[in-house]
Order: sequence, then structure tokens, then C-alpha cells
Amino acid sequence: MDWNQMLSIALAIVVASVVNRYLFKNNPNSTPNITAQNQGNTLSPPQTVEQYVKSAYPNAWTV
Amino acid sequence: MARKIVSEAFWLTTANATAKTDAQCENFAIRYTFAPIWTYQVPVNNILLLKSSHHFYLHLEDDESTSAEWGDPQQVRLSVWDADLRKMQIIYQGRYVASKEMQDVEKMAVLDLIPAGQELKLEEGAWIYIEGMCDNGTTALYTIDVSDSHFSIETERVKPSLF
Repeated sequence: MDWNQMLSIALAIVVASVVNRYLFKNNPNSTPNITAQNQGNTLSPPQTVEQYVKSAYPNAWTV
Repeated sequence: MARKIVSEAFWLTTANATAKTDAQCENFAIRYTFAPIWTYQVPVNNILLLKSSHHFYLHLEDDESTSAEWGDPQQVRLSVWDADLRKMQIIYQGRYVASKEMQDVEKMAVLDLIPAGQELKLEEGAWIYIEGMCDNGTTALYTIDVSDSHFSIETERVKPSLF
């Protein structure tokens, strides 16, 4: 392997890491978003039971 | 870390509710139209949501020497009360025959006095009363054997998660 090949590989690694950083990690749409929104019917803290019902069922009435 | 809030299906059953005694029901029914058979109070930090699509069933037995199920025309009622027992709303009333189906979900009774598409919110301290009309108005008073009777009501429960 000559110097040109080694430089090409090094350049490819740099390009790949830059692409990975800016195209995926800084893009909220393409990173796995492990938040409460993805966990079905749970919501993130610090909501209270009252706040949850108020947002999920704004028209619920009571006796 | 604060706990999450979960919203889950919750079947309220005889095991969760507080039962009256046979005598309490029968004495109550002499003076008032409907006698509470079971009561349930929403626990602290819980909210129950009831919808017109929620199912329920009742199974009521009398306390005669040859114990039998209640007669079809007997009236039953489900009502909800605020924590102070000052305001109430009837969420089901009908003949016993219409509310005793417990196997076929297509035939089970629903809480049809709640307006369709709306949710009735029961905050902590509010009550659900499961009531029967022991006096049928024409013949002798009906009796009830509470320990042989049971019920189940579908609800949606909102509460903090365990972890």
C-alpha cells in the first residue's frame, strides 16, 4: 500500500465522521429519539395526573 | 426522578369496591328507590375516565332460601358522586336483564348515559355507586345476597407509574 492509498483511506474516514456528525447526530429527525413520546401512552415527567388528563382530554367533564 | 404518568385500562371489580351488607341494602331500599350495593372511591393521585363505550356487567343474587338470580325486570343503576357526596350523575339505569351479560362483549351493557364522544372525569375522592332497586313496587321486597353477587366496570385509569 503506497502513501496515496493510505491518504485516501484517511480522508474517507474523516469525511465519514463529519457526515455522521452533521448529517445524523445533529439532525433530530434521523437520530433515535428515546423519549417518552415513543413509549406509547406515557408522558415525560414532571407532569402530574391532572396535567396529563387536561392535555389528553381537554373536554372531559366532571360531576 | 419523577415518575411517569400512565393511562391504562382498568376493570373495577368487586375486589376493589366496598360492599354493603345485605341488611344495609334492603333497609335502604325500603326508604329510597335505589340502594347502594357497592361503592368505590377513587384513590389519591388517580383519575378515572369513563366513556359511553365502556362496558360493564352486574350479577345479583337474592337472599331467599332457594337462592336465585335477580328477576329480569329489576332495576339497576350506576351513579357517580363528587367527593363530598353532594352532586351526582347517573351513568346507567336499566333493567337487570340488560346489564347481566358478562361473556359476549357484543352483548355487554355500556355506560350509555354518558354523552357519546365525551369523557367523564372522576378525580381523587370521587365515588362510583353500584345500586339496585330492591323494591320492585308491586310485590314483596326483593332481597340481595351481596357476597354471592359481583360486578365489573371498564374504566380508564390515569396514575403515576410504579417506577
